[in-house]
Amino acid sequence: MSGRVRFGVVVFPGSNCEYDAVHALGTFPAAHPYYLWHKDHDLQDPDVVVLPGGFSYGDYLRTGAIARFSPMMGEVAAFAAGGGLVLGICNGFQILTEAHLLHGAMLRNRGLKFICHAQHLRVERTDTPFTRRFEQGQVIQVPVNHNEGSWTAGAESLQRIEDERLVVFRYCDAEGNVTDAANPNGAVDNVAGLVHEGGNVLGMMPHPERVCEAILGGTDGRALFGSLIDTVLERG
Amino acid sequence: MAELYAELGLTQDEYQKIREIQGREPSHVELAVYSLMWSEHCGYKHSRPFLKRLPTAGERVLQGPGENAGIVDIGGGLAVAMKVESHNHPSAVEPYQGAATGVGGILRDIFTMGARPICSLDSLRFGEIAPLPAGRGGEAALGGLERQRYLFENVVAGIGGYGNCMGIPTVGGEVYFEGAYSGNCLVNAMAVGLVRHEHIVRSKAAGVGNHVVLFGSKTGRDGIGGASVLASQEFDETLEEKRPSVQVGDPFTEKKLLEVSLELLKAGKFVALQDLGAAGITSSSSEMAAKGGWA
Repeated sequence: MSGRVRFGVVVFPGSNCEYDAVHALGTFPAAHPYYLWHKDHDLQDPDVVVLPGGFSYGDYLRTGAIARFSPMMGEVAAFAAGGGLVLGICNGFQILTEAHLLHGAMLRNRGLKFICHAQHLRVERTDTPFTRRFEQGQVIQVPVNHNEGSWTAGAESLQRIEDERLVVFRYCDAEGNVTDAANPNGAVDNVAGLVHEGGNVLGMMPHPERVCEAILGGTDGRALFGSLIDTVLERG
Repeated sequence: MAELYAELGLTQDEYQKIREIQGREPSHVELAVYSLMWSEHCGYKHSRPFLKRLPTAGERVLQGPGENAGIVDIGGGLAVAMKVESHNHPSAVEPYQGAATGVGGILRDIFTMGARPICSLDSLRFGEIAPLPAGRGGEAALGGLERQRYLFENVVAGIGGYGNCMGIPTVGGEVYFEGAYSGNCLVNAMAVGLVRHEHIVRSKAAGVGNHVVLFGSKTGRDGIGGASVLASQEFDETLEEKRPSVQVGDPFTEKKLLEVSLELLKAGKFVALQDLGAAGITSSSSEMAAKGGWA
């Protein structure tokens, strides 16, 4: 917990993956993870802000719809607008779409069932601050755990996403084929994670923080946090 | 009073017994208290003889029966709190909420011991959900195969949904389908929590001048009579009418309750802590005081 790359993990009422995120980051000597309270206004000089998984405010209205209005999210939006690195995982991704920091919106999973399993993803871009330690087209395995993860977007957004290559992860099979059968929730174009135009905000439904230690079933998530650490350290 | 005791789920024998204990006609409130405390849900009046046959002592047992959950030492200053509870009747009447609030109840039992819940498990029994070869009786299931499938799907969804919202994974379980369960599905859930020995808290409340604080979800109109009317009666064609006596779960509030309880505990603010359970203040206040020597 004594590294110099500062990761602020925002805690909303109903967040339930904030401990996982801080624990995973704690396995990187260069990282210094700390909690941020949703009602506060001070991000405490972060290098990266993480919006963790969970059910912010119970998600009884629509996932992420209330969290978006929390005081801390105003600070996160300003931080993102200034080029700050923001990572939203699962509920964090849902919040980022509601806050219009990312394109699209979430629907309930195709089949209307909660899903929870290890999922293959194909890395579509390695030129982002989040993915430089991956290889182009690399197939990784990261768990998904959600009920509302069917990402969708309007025609205009989809065109823009295509033109600007904003998709970072797609659901695929073990061989890296992006097929409908490998799509666990019906997300448009198998989108599992994407960045916004500036490239500094990433949202993803799968949980990379849960695959950072071999004893927990995998280490494919390490390259993502490692990429962020590399990016920050390089900036000096 | 004659009609009232029956409405509250008490038998005539029990009513006579209450009159003997009181030495007079019980008041409406007294009758309601008895109906809760003597319900199968709170008193285990039918299953107690069987439960008594189970082993409960051992050098690693830090807490046996009688508290919100049992606790076993696992070494290194750590212990696990465990609780198993059935929610059969609520689940048979309203499978999603019945199963979900069953999980909610045992998770509260874990963190009211000072432990952080880390996982849950389940053991389920339903009638047949697929047609059987002729002569084996699957088709005769109460309400047919459709009803059993409906119960199965919604019980599973209720358990998973509540746990997911609380951030506590369901890590294992077992399920059997057999005609004998078609009239009465079995829904047992188990929760496991982790606690440091010095953080274990109990429900024994004593001490003059202490405040009694009730905190958690608001009392709604749902779930009234859940312990007495629902848990202790046979099912018949009025099944559907009993749905309002099943509580509607609110996992978000319970998640906040979990965090605030553990935080207050860490700050040393509790003399004792007790889960409210289906009988509410009736059981929690009397149980806490009784354990504290005020009975």
